[in-house]
Amino acid sequence: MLEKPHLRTVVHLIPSWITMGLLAVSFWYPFWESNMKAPQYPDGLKLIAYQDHVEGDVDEINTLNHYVGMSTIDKVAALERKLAPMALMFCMVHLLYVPFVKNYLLRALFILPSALYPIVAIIDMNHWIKFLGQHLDPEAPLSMTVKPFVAPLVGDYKVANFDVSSHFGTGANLLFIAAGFAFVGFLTHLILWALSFRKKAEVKCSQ
Amino acid sequence: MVKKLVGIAAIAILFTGCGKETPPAAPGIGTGTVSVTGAGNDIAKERGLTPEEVEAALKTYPRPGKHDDEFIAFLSGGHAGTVIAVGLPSCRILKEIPVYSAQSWSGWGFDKDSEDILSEGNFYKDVPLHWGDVHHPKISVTNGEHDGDFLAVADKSAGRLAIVDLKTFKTIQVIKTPNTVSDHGNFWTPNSEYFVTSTFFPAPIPYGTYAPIEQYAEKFRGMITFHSFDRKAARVRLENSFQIELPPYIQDLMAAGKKPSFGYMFTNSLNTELAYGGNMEGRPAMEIGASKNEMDFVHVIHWKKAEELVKAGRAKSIGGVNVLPLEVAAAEGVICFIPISKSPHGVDVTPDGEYLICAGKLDPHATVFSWKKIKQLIDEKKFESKDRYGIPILSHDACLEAYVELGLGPLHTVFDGKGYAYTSLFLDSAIAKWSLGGPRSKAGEEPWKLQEKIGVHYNIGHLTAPATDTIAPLGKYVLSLNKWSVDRFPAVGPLHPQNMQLIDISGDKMKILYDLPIGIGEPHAADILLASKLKAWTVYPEVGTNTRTLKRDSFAVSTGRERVLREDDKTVRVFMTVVRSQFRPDTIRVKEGDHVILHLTNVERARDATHGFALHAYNVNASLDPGATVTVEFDAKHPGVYPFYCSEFCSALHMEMIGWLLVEPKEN
Repeated sequence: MLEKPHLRTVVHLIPSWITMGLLAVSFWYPFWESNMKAPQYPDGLKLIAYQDHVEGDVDEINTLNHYVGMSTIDKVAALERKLAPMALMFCMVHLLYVPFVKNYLLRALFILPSALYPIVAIIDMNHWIKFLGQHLDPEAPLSMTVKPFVAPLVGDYKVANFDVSSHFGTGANLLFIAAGFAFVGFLTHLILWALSFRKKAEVKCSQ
Repeated sequence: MVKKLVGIAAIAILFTGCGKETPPAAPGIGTGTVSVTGAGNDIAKERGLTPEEVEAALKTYPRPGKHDDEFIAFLSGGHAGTVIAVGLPSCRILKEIPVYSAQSWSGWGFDKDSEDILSEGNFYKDVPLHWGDVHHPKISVTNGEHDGDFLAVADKSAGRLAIVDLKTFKTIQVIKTPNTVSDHGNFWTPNSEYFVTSTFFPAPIPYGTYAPIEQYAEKFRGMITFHSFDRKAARVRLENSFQIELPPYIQDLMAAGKKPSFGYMFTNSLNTELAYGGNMEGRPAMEIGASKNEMDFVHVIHWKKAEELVKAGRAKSIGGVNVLPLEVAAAEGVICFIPISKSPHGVDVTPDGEYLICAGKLDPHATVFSWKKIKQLIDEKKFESKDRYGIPILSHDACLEAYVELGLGPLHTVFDGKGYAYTSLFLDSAIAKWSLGGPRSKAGEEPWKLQEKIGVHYNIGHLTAPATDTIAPLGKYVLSLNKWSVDRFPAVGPLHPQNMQLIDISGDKMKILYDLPIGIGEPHAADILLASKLKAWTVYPEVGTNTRTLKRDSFAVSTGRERVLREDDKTVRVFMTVVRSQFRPDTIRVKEGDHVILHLTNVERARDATHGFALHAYNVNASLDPGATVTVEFDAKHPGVYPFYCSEFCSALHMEMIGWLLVEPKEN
């Protein structure tokens, strides 16, 4: 399976190196941010989610959320935060291995995780954001004031006295670009693999 | 004789006609017109406001939501035992800082740490003091300029000194100054190495010693105390402090020498007569007895030399502190006197350290002595005579620079940093502005001359100006701390508020901008700080901070570690967290007679998330700021059910923030 890399192969590898770089760097930037504004918080409150931890006014947000019966932040997506570094490692190791792989299909499959990771991350994040807003303890003190709600992953909405504005962070954007490169790489190798059958057939016919 | 008559007549006028008198000079009349267009103009017309009044309103108006105050003035609360923080120029009261008196809102005096701090200042443990008389709070200095770190707050009534930390605006130490019944005049040395106080009422030393009053001259003494301040620990250390013993001339206010006069300090006295009252024993009352002589003494004290003598072992240990005896001070030239007319009040030193200004009080002049002349005479040992205690006396005329007629009852002088002095005139109920001499006199103007007088309402005691004590006064305003308000405010009962007036000195004429009623104490003096120099905290830096040490409290507890411990059959110790909106644990069970110790930690991090802890049965109202750990201790003497609750409104569920102290009765 192992063979010395070709110049052509090296050129083909640049996209996968870029993808690896983007995946790595994305870890250090916020994945998702939510800004909350209310009259009694002149500086606003922030929730900044990285792939493996959460920063910002987490304690204050948890304190306020307990009045409406919402779970604390640490209890949701705990497993995902724990596994994220390993998942990223998994994607990057496979990208690293690609040049040493002769088979196009295998290459495509090795690139696939990097294309899927960001999509999985977004779907998972969206799930938890919705979960938090919809699972409010009906016996919570402010249950008459704040009913279960559907919070968008990205966008503006109002909850009780707060105007909330959520958006993706630089980390997510880097992941999307990485996914873009990875998807192109995946398709390319898939097509190359498909084409390789035709070549084989041609060779056979020409004999 | 004439002087005496004038004095008595002035006092008579004071008591018969004060309030009805027309002030000698009208409040400053503006020369320009203020035009406000639109609604502003309509309002001014409707209210009948003069252009000066509109100007005053615009200059002082604090915009809601903006921090428009350039200065914070720390006013003494007088016998309220507090310090009052006032923003200038808005003249809004920002906070009343409790020092010697308890304050239930802030929990001062209602929790263990504050009780411990206050009890350290009690000389007689069986006579706990619940009040103090705060006169001259002073902001700490670095390199001669305000640094905004601490306030030193002396107590005239019992001879105590307190330190307020301006990060938290809380009192962190109260001590009893040894060998004194009073701490009155005071100042910081240029890097806050010492806080220096003077005794007002002479008494036998050490504190608590008896001597018959007839031995006043022999046994009674005044003291100047150099309280050594350990800035890092934020504590006064009596073991490194020293005192200078003085004759019982009743030393009044003091000022520190600066620049050429650095190393010296000056105080005046009012009782060279050595009178001691006895108005039912054939002697005149103090007011007459201490005012007979034509001359009293300005004390010129070489404190740097005293410090060296103390270090060289010349001091005696009295009352637990090193005291430089009067004989040593006299013999070593630590003290000398300059005669000054009658019973003067203030001594103030000009910002360049070149001149001493002594306000006459009972003499309508300010006497200006030249430091150059004084120093030369001291160096050449040109003394005229000695007093009965062996202290050398200089020639009044040889030290004199100017004798400036200002008005009736001059008391205190402050400076604007532009070459002018402002002296309060108690009997005239006015402030006199006059030009200083020397190299700083305004170009072309005659030095040592009265420029202008403005009437104040009424009977001004102290006045103050931003950074007036420092080497670089900032000018702009003068605060008039008036002793009587009479008719300036609506009647609110026989005990009247005091009137603090803000005066604009930035223009050609002085103008009164604002009357602030202070119905919570009697401000004697104030020290003004640039607001930008304040570095006050908004929350405690980490959860579980002890408010006294500003370090982690050993009894702090974090969420999840709360517990109730029965330490032995008499003691219960509770570790409680306090957060919106619950006390955890909320149910405490003890037995009648148990000694209960509660360690309360506010685990909040948000600004302004303060909780209260009110337990009426044991007179507890603790105030818990975000991050603070506060300890409360009491003996559960009475069985019963006693709810505790959060007394400081904290959240939507504040009303539900309730707990129960259940005291089970003893089995009989």
